[in-house]
Amino acid sequence: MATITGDALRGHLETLVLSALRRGDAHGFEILRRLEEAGSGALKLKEGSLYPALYRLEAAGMVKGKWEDSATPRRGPRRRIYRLSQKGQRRFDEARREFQLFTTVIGGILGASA
Amino acid sequence: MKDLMIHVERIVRPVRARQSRKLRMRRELLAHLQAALEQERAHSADDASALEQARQRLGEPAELTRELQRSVPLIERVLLARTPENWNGWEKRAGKRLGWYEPATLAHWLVLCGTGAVAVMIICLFAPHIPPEARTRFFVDGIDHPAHARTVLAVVWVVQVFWFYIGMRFLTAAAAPAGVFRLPRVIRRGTLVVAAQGLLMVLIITQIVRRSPTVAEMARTLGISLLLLGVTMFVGRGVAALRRPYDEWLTLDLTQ
Repeated sequence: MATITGDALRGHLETLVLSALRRGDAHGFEILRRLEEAGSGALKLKEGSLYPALYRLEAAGMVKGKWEDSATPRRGPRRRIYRLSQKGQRRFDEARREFQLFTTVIGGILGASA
Repeated sequence: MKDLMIHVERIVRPVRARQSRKLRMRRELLAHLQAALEQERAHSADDASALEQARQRLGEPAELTRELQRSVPLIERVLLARTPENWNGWEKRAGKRLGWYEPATLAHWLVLCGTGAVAVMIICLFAPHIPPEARTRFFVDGIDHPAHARTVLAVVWVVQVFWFYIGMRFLTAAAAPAGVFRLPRVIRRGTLVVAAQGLLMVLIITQIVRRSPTVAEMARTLGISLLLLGVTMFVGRGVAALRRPYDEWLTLDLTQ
């Protein structure tokens, strides 16, 4: 199967993260799992890139992060759980409209409409 | 676990950001790597190849360092910009004595030089123990002998910068992790702090108030110095406790 890798995803990663968080609060690893699942194996992310994207989104107020409760029964370091904010939801809706317009126009030109 | 921490530290240590932000990066990347390793163990024949796969999934370390750096706010990047190597020899040496290398940054230099400037401003404008007539005399003399006045203020600035610098070194020694804490180093730096504070007091009284310091003034200065050292020591041990989560990362040897 052809895969979509880092360079092609540049500029879309933040929207993809917002999209994954629409399904509920999640830590980084879970966000990645959701994206891979939604991409049916065609998405190949450099996993570390997810965190700078999350930090930018948090700084912009689009997601809110908090550390997992220390009482959570699991091994290993605590994880940071992210939640989509209202601003993030609005940004996601806007990005989706922009992307639909982009695919319609460019797809039309290339003769490859979805 | 230590292998994972070393890999994470190689990525995060070069990032110019405040330590709390870097600690968060470390913890998140470590949690991620650990989850990836558990997944890889299920598919790999041995631990070493599972570890390698988990590392590769995270991406190329230098590229990830750059991406993390770009996620840090601009003001923080500027303030924590590294200064040229030959400016920060003292900081490097202090770092090595504590067992890790933490280069000096623009913020260190701004604070250090700013502290000296504050002392000069206080002397010129607000020091309550300088009588107004002495202040006037100093400035009148300054007009007649501007070179002398400038020299006095410059020396005060230098001594104040040294006092603050050695005070910070004292705090660093007091806040050293248990395994690195050395009482002789604390005593040596503490003695230098007291000497610098005494010198500053003598300089102000002889050059600005224009008389010899009294025994009572000397004793008061010594008392205040010792009190300040005691408070700093207490704060240092508190800092050491707060810094424990950072120490486990900062003391990692990345050369292995």
